[in-house]
Amino acid sequence: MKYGLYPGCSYEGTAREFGESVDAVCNILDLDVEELKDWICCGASSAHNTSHLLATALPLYTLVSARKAGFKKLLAPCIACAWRLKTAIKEIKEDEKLRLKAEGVVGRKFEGGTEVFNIVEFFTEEVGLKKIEKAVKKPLKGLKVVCYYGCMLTRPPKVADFDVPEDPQSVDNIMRVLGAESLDWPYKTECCGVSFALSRTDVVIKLCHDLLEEIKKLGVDMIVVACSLCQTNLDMRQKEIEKKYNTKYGIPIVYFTQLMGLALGAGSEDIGLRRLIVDPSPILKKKGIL
Amino acid sequence: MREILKIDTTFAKQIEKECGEDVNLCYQCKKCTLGCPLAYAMKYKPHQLIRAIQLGQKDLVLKDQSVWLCLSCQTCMTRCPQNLDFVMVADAAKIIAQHEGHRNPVLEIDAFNNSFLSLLERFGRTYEIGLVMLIKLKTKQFLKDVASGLPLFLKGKFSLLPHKVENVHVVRRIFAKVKELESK
Ligand code: SF4
Ligand code: SF4
Repeated sequence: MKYGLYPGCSYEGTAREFGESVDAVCNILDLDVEELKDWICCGASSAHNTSHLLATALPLYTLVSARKAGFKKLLAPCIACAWRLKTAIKEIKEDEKLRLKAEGVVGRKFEGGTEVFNIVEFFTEEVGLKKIEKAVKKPLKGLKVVCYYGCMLTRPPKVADFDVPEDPQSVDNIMRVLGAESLDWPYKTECCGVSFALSRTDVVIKLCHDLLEEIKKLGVDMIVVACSLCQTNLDMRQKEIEKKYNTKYGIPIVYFTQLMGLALGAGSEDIGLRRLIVDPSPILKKKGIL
Repeated sequence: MREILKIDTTFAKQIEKECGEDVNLCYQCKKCTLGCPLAYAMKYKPHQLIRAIQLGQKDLVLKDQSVWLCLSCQTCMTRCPQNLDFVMVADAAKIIAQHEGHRNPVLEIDAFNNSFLSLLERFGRTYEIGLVMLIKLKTKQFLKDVASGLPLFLKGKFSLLPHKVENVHVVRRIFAKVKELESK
């Protein structure tokens, strides 16, 4: 099966290590993933509250490109991109007036035929846990983690159509297959403040503080995430939060694909480990994983 | 004869036209508000905003900050027993507000949205440093985020120049057409 990759704007920017680790893992698993060349930005968090038409037209362009390039399945690692693409497909299918308008704006006809996958969905449902388990070279023995899903991975359920919205398990299941211990906790799908990162930073600081406080109680080695907004907010703001609330966390925020890479035998350079701000290597070395 | 209270339903209908959601489905159970991570900062909570729309309180909804503080985390609509999608309702209110000449009263969010879209229109993609700079100019908070942003830059996650995007003309054309259609 050939998969198209829609990298999105953050793949070479703030989520660079996410991109690097996705590429590394796909290579090791010998998956046929190829970047879609003719893509444009999905409009992310700003288009949908400015113009419904703009928020539909931008993804429509990319979806038609994917089909033209022969990709029946399109992987969108950025959770916000996956959400916008999936929303556009759903709305275009249900609302003929909107479809015609968006097609007019883009100058292309939408014929469907391309399915969009978020990154966790891709590894659990397309690749499958069995294949991942078989490829493990270095089990993550003794590593204690919590998985944090955030808001967009399973929501809105009518669009995401993936896992259990209030108690998702898919990333936990991947961690278990890799040999790590993944704890249950109540804030799995709480919000980190997503796109307020650069505007109402005070909100992000409060929400991330709530999350980090809960995590501190659990005594885990790191937080595993699947979303670059969750990662950036919790990692980049951690020092600021510690200062504001006069506390100390030092908890690494690691992409699940980085841990997959480690367990499947990738080098730390291949998965961009050094790009994380709270450095996970001391704890990984202590556990004999690195 | 007793007087009958008349409720102005124009605003509720306007919202429905914009997003397809019928606010009259809401029976005020408050589940949306109880799970909302931003309720603490909103003067009017999600269930109250919906009530206000049901009752035709257009100014209250469009002029206050509350609706703009919704960050689309989708908790409310996931839990609503009536399957009412408040995120769509909030987006519709924001769009109507902009069409009718109200400015987003939350300066920083307004600066973020405008900067994001203008950079996207210009370069065809998000450009993080440009975004940070524009927001600083618009909000006049020049020192904000310098300390937190520096490590990202040092780790190679922020590039100084915008990425080159080949089909930036496609993005510009889409923006232009949308503007043309929506100004009609
Ligand atoms: S959860 Fe739904 S029905 Fe309950 S108050 Fe909110 S919108 Fe209304
Ligand atoms: S989507 Fe908006 S209103 Fe709903 S829970 Fe999240 S922040 Fe609150």
